[in-house]
Amino acid sequence: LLKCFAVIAVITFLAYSSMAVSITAIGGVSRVIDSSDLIAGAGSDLHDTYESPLDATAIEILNCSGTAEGWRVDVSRSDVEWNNNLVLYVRRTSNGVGDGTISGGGEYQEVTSSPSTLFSGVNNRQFIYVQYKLAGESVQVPIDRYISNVTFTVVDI
Amino acid sequence: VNILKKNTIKLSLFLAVFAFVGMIAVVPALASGGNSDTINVSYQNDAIAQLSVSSPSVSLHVTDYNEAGNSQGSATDASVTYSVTTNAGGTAKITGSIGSPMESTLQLLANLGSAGGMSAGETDLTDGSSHDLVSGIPNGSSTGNSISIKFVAPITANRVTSSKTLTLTLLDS
Repeated sequence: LLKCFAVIAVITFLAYSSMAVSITAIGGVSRVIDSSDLIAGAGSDLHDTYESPLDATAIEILNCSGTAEGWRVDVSRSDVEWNNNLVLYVRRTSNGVGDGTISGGGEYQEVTSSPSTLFSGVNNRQFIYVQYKLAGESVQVPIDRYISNVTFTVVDI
Repeated sequence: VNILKKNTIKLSLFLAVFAFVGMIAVVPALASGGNSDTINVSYQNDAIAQLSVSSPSVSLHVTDYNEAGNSQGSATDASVTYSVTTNAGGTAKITGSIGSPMESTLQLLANLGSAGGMSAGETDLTDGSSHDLVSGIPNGSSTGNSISIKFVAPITANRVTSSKTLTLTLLDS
């Protein structure tokens, strides 16, 4: 029995010690673009860009050790269905709350298939909001539903 | 021996409590997120077919009755234009109809600019049915496309007046 509990205790300890900073992202974008988005009705084209709400996605950074543990958040995307005329951007719109700090990411940056750093910080932060912008829309873009999966990755630094 | 057993039990209880509390704390933390998370962005481009004309009405007055040798007179208006936006993929067309036939002996014809597609040229709308006026309009938007309306009336002793509504419809053919 002693050995059994000892093993459990060791596993628990190892699990604790191996817990790295984690990220949770909640909320996305679902937007219909139709004739109401024409610049000036018949004879005009669609608006080129479409911004999501400021708080389209809420991000949490948790499980930091609490001893000034630094991290950065990278962003990338994987397309389900896309059109080459369309360009997706993202930016951070809030600092969030928590015992840590946060910096960077306030300006729109393109989201591509390659991860790029969006922002960085120290220790736990919650309610970090990001906003998206779609550019390149026009009536030349065929009728379809364009979907991409945006991945946020937290990296210990 | 009893002392050893007693200590063993105490240690076991301590470890059990430690393990239990530890697991309670760890499992939710591990479940709350990993080092990455994914959200979904979706933009749906719906069909767009918008057409408008620059003026809601035109008046056509046949005035060349008195010219020698004429059995009928005509009047043409080309002051109205149309604007169009479509993303139908090059299959859009414009049809025209006056809804019901013209009065006997009167004719109404229309000729629309191509808007990047192919114009059917001057088309007789007199029978009141729907006729293709432009086809193959590509994706895009254009303004100032011409609309020419021609009214033809025979020479008669009586003054003839007619009013018709020409409906232009943008369709995905």
